[in-house]
Amino acid sequence: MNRALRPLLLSVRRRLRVAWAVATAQLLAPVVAAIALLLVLLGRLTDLPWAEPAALWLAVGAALAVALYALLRPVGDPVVARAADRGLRTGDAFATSLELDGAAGDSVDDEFRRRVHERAGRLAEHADPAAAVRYRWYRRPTAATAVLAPAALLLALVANPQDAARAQRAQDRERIEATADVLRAEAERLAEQPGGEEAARRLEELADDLDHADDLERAEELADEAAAELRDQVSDNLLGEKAASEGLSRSLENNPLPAAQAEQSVADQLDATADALPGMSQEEQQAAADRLEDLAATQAAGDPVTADALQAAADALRDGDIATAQAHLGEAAQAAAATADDVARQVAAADAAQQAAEASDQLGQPGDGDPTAGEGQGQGQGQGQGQGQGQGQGQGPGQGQGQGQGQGQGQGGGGSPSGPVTGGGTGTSGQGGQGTGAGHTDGSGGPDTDTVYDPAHGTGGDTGSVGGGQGTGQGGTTGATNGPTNAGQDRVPVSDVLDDYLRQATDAMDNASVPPSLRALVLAYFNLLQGADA
Amino acid sequence: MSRELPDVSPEQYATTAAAIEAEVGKVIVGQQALVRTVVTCLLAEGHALLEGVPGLGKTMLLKALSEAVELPFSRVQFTPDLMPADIVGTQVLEEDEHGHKAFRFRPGPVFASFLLADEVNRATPKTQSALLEAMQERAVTAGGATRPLPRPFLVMATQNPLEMEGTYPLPEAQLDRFLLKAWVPFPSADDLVTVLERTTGTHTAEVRSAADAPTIMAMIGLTRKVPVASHVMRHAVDLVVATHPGGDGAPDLVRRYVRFGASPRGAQALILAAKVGALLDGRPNVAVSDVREVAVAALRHRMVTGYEATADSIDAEQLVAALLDAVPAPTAGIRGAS
Repeated sequence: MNRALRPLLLSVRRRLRVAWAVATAQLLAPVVAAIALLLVLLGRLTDLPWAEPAALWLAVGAALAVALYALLRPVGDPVVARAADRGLRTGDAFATSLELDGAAGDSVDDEFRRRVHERAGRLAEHADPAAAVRYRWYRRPTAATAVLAPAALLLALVANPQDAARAQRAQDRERIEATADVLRAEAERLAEQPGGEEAARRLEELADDLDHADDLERAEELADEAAAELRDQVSDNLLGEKAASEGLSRSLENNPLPAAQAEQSVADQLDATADALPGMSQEEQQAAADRLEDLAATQAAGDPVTADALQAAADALRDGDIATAQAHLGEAAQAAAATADDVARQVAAADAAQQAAEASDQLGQPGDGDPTAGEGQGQGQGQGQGQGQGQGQGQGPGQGQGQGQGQGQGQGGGGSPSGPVTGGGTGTSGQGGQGTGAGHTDGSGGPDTDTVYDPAHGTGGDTGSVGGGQGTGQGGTTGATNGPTNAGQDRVPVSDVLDDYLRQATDAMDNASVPPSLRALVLAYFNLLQGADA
Repeated sequence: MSRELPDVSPEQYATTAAAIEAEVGKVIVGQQALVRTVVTCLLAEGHALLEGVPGLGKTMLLKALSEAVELPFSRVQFTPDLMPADIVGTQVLEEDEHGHKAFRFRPGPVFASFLLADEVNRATPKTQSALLEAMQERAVTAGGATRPLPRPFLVMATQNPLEMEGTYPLPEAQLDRFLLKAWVPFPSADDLVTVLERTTGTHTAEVRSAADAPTIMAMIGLTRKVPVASHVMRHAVDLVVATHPGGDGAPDLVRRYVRFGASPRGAQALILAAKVGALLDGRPNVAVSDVREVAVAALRHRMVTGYEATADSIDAEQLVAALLDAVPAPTAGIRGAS
């Protein structure tokens, strides 16, 4: 390249880049400003939270793109030379000189080559790059930008009527996400329970669906759908089935079948008994038949299949048909195992349904929050294991005439949760709302529930005597009490009474006047007791 | 022959050309553009076609030019009964002093460096085409022999506007052989006064020699050495392409009224004339502006228009103007730069 041209071409190239950027920005600016204005207007008319940021990013992006392209776009020497020629009106001296540099030696007369270079160098020496490339100003686009851009900026800065709706949407989003997190935690817990995999998976699906829910209404619908779907998986006779299954298990645990071990499962005990039947004496077989019949009676309401098999086994045993008895015992074992699995699955489904219903309730409840801050308050709710205390009181006979009466009194109270409490709450910025929160408490620190006060099952208490007044004769009354006296005990293992309680509760809930939500509550209660008992 | 030519520098080129124009300007009043066109044709070794009403000094112009460069000048008044032999010459039977008879070629007026074909469109097409070989090949064939014409050789043809009585349009092939075509305008009132003062008095302007044939030939050689940048060459091509109704960049006016566009000779004419223009302007290279300046003269007679143009009174100047608007000078191609 003609060395004399190099400084000029460098300067002109820089100015060409700037000129391109300035011109492009001027031409692009009204378009960008118009789109930004439309976006801002759209953001004021509709609840589109991305409208203003999109307008801002559009402007910033366009400016950056223009600047970047201006820096990076290739501007070759011939282009620069031609621009300098036109700007400085040199009669294409620079472009020709540049081209003659690369021309073959014999294609151009040397004298002319020299003269062209000299002239170009002379012109370049006194050339002003600013005169070579003058920045162009486009009046109309600039004027349009001067109107549109401030308008967009002004509308973006003044208060937007959609701000409250956007804040509400953001809070709803947080609420939905918090609910989804709770559901995921519940799903993890359920997944660890026997038979809880399916229910846990459904809760996970619900949490995922909530993440993609557009609004609270949709989230509530999804939770309701999941709750209904899970409830459909729960039999109306779940309590009976559960009472039968767990009662049978517990009964056999406390009093194993002949030839069976207490730690064996129901099915294993039944199989063990079936295997041992041929070796039993007549009396033992009859005793086993009696036991099986008793067990059949306990299963009749909750697990008729198992009950029928047990009864058939008992009948066959009484008839001396060992093989048939063994076959029926096998059927009973399978039925009992299936019932246990089904009960576990249904319990998990019911639990999951409860969680989904709670999620729906939480999503559907109005929030409460500070109207300005838009933050709510949450409360954690915990459940603890209560401790029962028994107290016996005896009253002795009076003198001459007395009456003995024993009374045991038990008190149970909810224990304080000592486990970790997690809770999250959301509130709305609305007025008059009430904050709600979802809490979760592991009440692992509560007292044990191995025993419970039960006067009906209490053992004999101390003999109490009540002194009477001075009478005419010798008199005295002795009463037996059921209480924590020196001689008796009013606390019994929960396992001994739970089946009765559950049965009574089942009978009570057959009453149509009991609301379904309370049925679920009772079920949850027993689940809790049984879980603790287990 | 080139070794016999004097060395002419670009500066001498411009000076000599200016001197020739000045000498011609002594007798031709107010027709600087016309003089420049003719001088350009001379230095590009082309031919000039001048169009204008009679009496505007066209003959005087060529005569003055021949005197300024010391070259022989001949004039042929084209008439309907003019025969080709009247132009190129003919074989005549001559008898020498010994009584021997032999045919001898008697050169016609074309055997001069400057030939003024006055009112060329009054002759029949057959006679007009007799100039074809002379103009293109710079040689004539008569009596079975081809005879070169002297160099430089410049045909300056004048034609009356076609709408005048007794005119024949020049064939396209012959039109294409004129490097440039100039329109001879009627002089302004002031110029006309000057013309009257110079031609009705006793004083007669004397044209002095500003150059000779070798110098002119050296200048013609120098013209062809002027370098042309590729984008300038490309611009000339773009202009010629746009003269075709189906060419890229052809303006609507061309698409509507032009039947055939300029031939490659049109592009050659643009570049050659632009080279002369650059040297006359004191530049060693051709600029885009040089091409555009000669575009009207180089292209106006090369676009064949249809009857629609005549009906709508569209002339060649309008077409070339539209062409120049449609094909602007090449820019840097960067927005914001001029």
